[in-house]
Amino acid sequence: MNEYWITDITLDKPQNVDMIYAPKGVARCTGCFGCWLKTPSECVMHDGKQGIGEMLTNRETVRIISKITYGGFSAPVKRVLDRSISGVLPFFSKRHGRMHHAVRYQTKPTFYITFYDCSQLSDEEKALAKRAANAMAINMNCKECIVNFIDKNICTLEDII
Amino acid sequence: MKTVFINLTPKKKNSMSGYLLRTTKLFIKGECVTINYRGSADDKKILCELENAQNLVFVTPLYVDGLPSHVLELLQRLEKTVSKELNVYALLNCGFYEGEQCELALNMVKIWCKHSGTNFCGGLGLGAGEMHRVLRWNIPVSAISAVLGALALAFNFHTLGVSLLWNAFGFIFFWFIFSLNMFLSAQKTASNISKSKNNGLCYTTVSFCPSWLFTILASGYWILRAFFFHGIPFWKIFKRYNLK
Repeated sequence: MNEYWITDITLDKPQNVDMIYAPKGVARCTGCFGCWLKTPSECVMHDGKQGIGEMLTNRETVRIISKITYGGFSAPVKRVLDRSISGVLPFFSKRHGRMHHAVRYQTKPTFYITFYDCSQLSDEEKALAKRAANAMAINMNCKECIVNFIDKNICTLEDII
Repeated sequence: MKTVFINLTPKKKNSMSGYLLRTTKLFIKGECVTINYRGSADDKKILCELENAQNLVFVTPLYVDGLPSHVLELLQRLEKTVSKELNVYALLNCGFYEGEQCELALNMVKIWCKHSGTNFCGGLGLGAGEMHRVLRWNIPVSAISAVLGALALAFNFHTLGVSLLWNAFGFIFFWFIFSLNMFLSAQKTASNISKSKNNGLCYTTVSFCPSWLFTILASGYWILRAFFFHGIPFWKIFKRYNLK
């Protein structure tokens, strides 16, 4: 079991998944950089979610299920992602021709990102969401990032996998 | 012409967004209002100020290649309530060297404008945000050094006085030289905001500092900050999370 999910909808936990995480009530990142400098590798807010960075960057598979909000992840999913920078180091390295944070873990996760409820969205919004997902995955040292769009408002596991 | 700036940093003080906002505001002509956003309780205040405003400027840091979650939440609440006549600008800053890394977030604001029916007028993406933020401290350090230098000269410690005055000059010089791009871009953006003109998507970063030098300076900064502010030696920065 080396798979981690982040979702903004309520789903039953699949058998082969470490954790399925509907991020209700997650505290938001305050930009203090404590997860790099004060308690390296974990968020200073000990609310049970302080290891989000490790879960996102030190897994074989990470699956994110999100609604698109203005060409990016929805606010609840973004709240989790914002607190995940403890998974990388404060130092910089160049990857894909741009500066990114140096990696803390050597694992290269594969990201499967599913955007749902896309029927009303413009191509521009979908294209931006795909680019935002890829950029986030590159920052998290991904091996591969597979993005797909589902028109309907999903509610079962079969719709995703 | 009224311009409303919304400072969306989660930091209570000494934020780069606040610094960028104040720098841009220096060059704005006309009425200016700043709202330091702290949460949904500020929505009413924002809407009240926007009633007779022509320009709205979001100032926010970049979080994981996008807008921070609290900004998304605010935008969702404002989407249906803001006036469609508003000209919207966004000032983004990121810790990476390239200001271009703010492009995705700037385009997210553009999409919000399409949803809300407002007029997106571009913005600014500033790289090396943390470096700019820290460089500000050169000003008080320089002032202290200048005062001490003057005192040393007054008490006939000539060599010490001169070296302290050179020190003061050096701190101010490097602050100005490295921040020059930011000042010029802020001035250009402010000029367009004042005229409600389209600014396009502009990107800038620290001036006279190549990316390799930035990487070295940034690494040194993180190591020193971890040690002096939190007592964490540099090898502990690389710690791996211990899953309990």
